[in-house]
Amino acid sequence: MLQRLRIRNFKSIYDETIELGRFNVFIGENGSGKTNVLEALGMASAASENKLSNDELALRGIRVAKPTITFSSFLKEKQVKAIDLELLIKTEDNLNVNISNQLTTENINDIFSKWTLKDGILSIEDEGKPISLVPYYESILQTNTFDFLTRAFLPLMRNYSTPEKLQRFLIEQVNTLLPKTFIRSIQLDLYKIYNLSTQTLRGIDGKSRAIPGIQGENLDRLIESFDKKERELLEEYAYFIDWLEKIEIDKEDRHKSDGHKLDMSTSILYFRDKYMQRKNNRFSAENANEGVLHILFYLALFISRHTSKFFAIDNIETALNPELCKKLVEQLVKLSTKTNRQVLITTHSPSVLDGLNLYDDEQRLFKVYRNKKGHTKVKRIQLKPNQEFNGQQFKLSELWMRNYIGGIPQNL
Amino acid sequence: MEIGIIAEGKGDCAVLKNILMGLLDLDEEDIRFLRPDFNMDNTDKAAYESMPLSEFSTWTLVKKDCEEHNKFRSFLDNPIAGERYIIIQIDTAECEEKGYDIQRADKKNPDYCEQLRQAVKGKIDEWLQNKWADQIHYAICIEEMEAWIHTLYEKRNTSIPVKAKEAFQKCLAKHLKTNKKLARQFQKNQRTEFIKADFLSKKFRKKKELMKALEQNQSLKTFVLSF
Repeated sequence: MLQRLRIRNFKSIYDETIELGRFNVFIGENGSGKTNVLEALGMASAASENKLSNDELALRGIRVAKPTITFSSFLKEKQVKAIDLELLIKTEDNLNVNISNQLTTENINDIFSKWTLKDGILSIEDEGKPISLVPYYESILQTNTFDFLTRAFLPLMRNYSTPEKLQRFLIEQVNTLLPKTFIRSIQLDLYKIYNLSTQTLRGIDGKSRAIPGIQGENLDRLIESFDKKERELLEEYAYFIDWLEKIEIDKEDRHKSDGHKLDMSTSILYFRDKYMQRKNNRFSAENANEGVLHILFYLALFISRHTSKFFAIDNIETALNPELCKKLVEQLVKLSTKTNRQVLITTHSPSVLDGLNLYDDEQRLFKVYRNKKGHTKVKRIQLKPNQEFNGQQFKLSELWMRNYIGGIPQNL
Repeated sequence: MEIGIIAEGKGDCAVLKNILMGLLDLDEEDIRFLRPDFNMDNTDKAAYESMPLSEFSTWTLVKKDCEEHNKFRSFLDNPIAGERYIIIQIDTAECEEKGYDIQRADKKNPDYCEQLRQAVKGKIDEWLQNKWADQIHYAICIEEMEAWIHTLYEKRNTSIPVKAKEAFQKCLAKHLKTNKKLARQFQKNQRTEFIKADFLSKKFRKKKELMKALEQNQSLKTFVLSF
């Protein structure tokens, strides 16, 4: 799990540290910087794989801008020409690994200028005690033997005449691989920000060939790839859509010629409506209501063994009824534990908050706002310690809407 | 620290916000406007605006909130962690009205301000039934909030103002006549009562200006020193 993220000098974020849980929800005014938090993590993810071209950043859901406005640029502050990201990863064997990423670019005025990463391990700790990197060097040497041999041993035959020089070279190589290894261990390298478009979910206007794409491309292909267990798990949630009898994948795209859709959609996803006559109850994704497509996408994203363990969703409430939003979030929280995901979610919908249980430390709510200098600040909303249930009900949604939490514009 | 404000008007909220930002270095996000209701829906707003003037006097709504306790309970006793306070703002201009029931002392009395303030504070405590005593701050303006803003525009003691609103408007008019830049900015900040008061009192956001202003108004000083 990514336990802590420190972001410095990225868009509206001057210097902010966020302690993350498994299921993290961010609320705040428009323009407070919620999406910037998600994007900062996207930059770290892209950097770890050295996929920092504009196309590759955009495919992860990052809004690309020229470096002068990607670096923070606040009034009365000198602009620093580097983005600093610090990640604290807790490994499955309970080590705390602190990784630093610094991103710079050659021409800060050029949107096409190439980003360069300088990364490294700041520390590895076991229960607070620093530990040696040697076993990790060894494990990397084993797991990446082929890559290592080609990259290391060929040049060393010619250039490294003494054991000391060879050792130095090997350590440099391992140091390059080490941060990536830890980042891959939590699948942060596969991180994307999903921001769904109904048209794209319908199979129209998709821009990505990824399964699934960040706007909902290829939902049909994702469901098609489900094994029996995944399909059964998905069907457990059919109750979310009252009219839904069955989800169908038309592998050969035969229904298209039966007049079920125009030629606009490439989706082979169909639904059957239990209230309609059987001969007339099949609907294509192109004709289905938007709610079912959004719900299905989120469930598939959390269920599929092919999707990343770590991702973000921007504006999860789009197209969803408030009560449905609450129930969906409740179930996504459960799924995140069941299928071992870590997620960051932004929302403007109070009902999403009611799907959270803040007594559970894995579920976290953050308020994002701009301070008087315009810096994005992220504050965790926590419950009072030893809060006793005294019969008074305080729904988080109501507390938010009544302005007791903050994160809403007060003087429009 | 988070501070909720229950005030007579939206302009009063803006002034208090600026004072808190200057005094405690708070961000706007740390300050919640609980009264008046900035997020009232249009149906309620229509009902509110059609209320007869007698029911609608702004101090009566502050009193109502104090007596009903709902806003206090929801803001101070909700399960969310954090240090929270509520500021209750009220003017003394209408203190002799029925239901407010404060008798003014002689204005010549050197303790006039403090005595009046104490009487109003006692009245608020009575409305609140002495609950949340450690979490309440009293912003009692003698006679109106304009007397506090006035301190930013003229070196004059405004502790016991006569017709505070008119006196401030007169002073402001003079400034606007002679200061073209101020007049231009003032024109741009007229959209709402909140924006107008926010603009006029923004100097309170600077601690130095705030501290200077304290010396010219007793009730402002007492409020600020309560922190």
